[in-house]
Amino acid sequence: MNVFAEVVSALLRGAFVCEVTAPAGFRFLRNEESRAEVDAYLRRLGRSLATTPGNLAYYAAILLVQGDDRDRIRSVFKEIKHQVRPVLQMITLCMDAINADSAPSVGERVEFGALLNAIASKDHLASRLQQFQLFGQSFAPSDASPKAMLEKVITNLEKWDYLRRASKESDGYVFTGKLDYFYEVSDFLVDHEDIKDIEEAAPEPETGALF
Amino acid sequence: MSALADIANLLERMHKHSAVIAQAYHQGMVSRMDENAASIEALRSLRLLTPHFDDTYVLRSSVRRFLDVALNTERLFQSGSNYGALLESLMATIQVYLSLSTASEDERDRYESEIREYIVEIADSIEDDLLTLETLAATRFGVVRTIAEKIAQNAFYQTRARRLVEFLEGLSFAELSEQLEPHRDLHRMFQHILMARLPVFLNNLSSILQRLERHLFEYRTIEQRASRIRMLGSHYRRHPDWEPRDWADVVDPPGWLQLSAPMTIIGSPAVRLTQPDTALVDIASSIRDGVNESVRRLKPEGNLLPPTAIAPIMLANSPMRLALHAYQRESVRHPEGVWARGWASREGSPAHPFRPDVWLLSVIHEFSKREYRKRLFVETRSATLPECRGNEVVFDVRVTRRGLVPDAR
Repeated sequence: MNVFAEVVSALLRGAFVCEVTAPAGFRFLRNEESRAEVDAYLRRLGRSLATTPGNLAYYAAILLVQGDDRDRIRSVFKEIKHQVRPVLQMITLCMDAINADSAPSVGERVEFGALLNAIASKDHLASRLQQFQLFGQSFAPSDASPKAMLEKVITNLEKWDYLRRASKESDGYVFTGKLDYFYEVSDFLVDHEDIKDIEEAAPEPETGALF
Repeated sequence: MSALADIANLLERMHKHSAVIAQAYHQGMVSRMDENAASIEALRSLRLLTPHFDDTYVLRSSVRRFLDVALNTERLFQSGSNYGALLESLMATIQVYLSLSTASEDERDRYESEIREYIVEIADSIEDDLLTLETLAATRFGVVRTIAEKIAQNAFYQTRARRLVEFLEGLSFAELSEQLEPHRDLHRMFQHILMARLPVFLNNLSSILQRLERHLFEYRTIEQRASRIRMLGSHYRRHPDWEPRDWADVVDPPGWLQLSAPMTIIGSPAVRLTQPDTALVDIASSIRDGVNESVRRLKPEGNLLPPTAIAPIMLANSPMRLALHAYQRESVRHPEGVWARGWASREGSPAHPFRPDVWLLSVIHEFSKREYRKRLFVETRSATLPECRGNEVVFDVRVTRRGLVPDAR
């Protein structure tokens, strides 16, 4: 199958085409002429080619929102509402595990073993990992160990296309271009909802009794 | 001794005391002790070390600068950036050189050599600075990890790069070039080493600056993203039951909600085209090694042995078979047929007595077969007894040749 056909099939399937999931297709879409060609084809099928804000992933969007599309939009919103907290929790967990002051970017690796070790060595991270159980039945681990919980989290993020296994041999995962889409969603929520920049105060050290 | 031999001799002696030089460079000074006293004295006599205080010694600035250049350290960037001083020295030396009218040839040569060194030093310093900046920009300040540190480094080196641009743009190189014009060798060197490379230097600097500015923008975006992610995360922690508004039902839904529905595409091979054939052949060959491959194992062909090799086994008829044949012959000969139990008691082989029930069942079974039906008639003497729950109890069987006795039943 040629790259055009691969790209169009992936987009029609509802996939995000990015450097991680489809490198050849992504490079193809980086070219303006190819993009125009794909967009023209999608338009004939009532869709258009859309891109995430950082141009790190491409996807097929509804061309013109009509009555029938409302159900689809509701379904996407429901899915996003279901995913936003677990994905956010995973992102902040990754950041705090290595004390990073930057959020993970597309193509960044998550080493399962290293992340698990970091979580296991810090109680507050372990407790945040356990909170994933609150996000629904799909996060119920096979046992109570942090490893089982983290496996469950990774499995879900892989299923939702935010993570992709780096290779069959390694225990590393890579953030896909859908992460850029997620950042678009989170930016929108921060900008349009009543979310205030309140710094969470660090717990103050306890003062010992003088007497 | 030739000049070349002098240089080789100096380097050899420096090599001999390299440990002390390295210590003085790395630690900034070296303390005099019994084990390094000889080396320190030797290096002092070579004018490479200078007394500091309390029996400590430091490298002479010229040696330190030489090592800075050779090792391409950060100090190079800072010290080498003092182009103003270097340029002032160059201009001053040129003025002195131009004013020499009655000086000896040696004196003029000394000044010429000094001017050459300044020109090379300025050009090399600019080139080294560019290389340092280029490396830092290419590695995106890889030595620091956090975004805040990267932003600080980026700002620092942008200032440095701008200062270098200002220096190069503000230089009165044209005036210097004019002054040196009557002195062909110096003028050629000045043109070749500094003037000709100036546009390249400025071009590289401008490209580095652009890259640093782009990186700074990216760092700020990354920083802002992290801050927004933290903000949303903290909002969820403070309001665990919070849910976003129903953005799906607004008149103009945001772009990220307009993901199109997945479309299932099912294709079938066009059998009239030859193209799918090749594709199918490819698929077939690719699944040859697949896990679901079924292997048909053929048994090895057998060998027919010659008839003489095996002694034939003759199967003898069973006593029951023999008795049935004898009974049939007897029944056919008698027009009224023969009752089986009577026959068995009279003619049966004493060597193989049969149980009456087995004998009667065998007779019924044998002569009820389709092959006998047209020729023989099987008649039973039987009764239904109440204790047998509806089953018929057969007392005897008679086999008669058909057509000889009127078929009563």
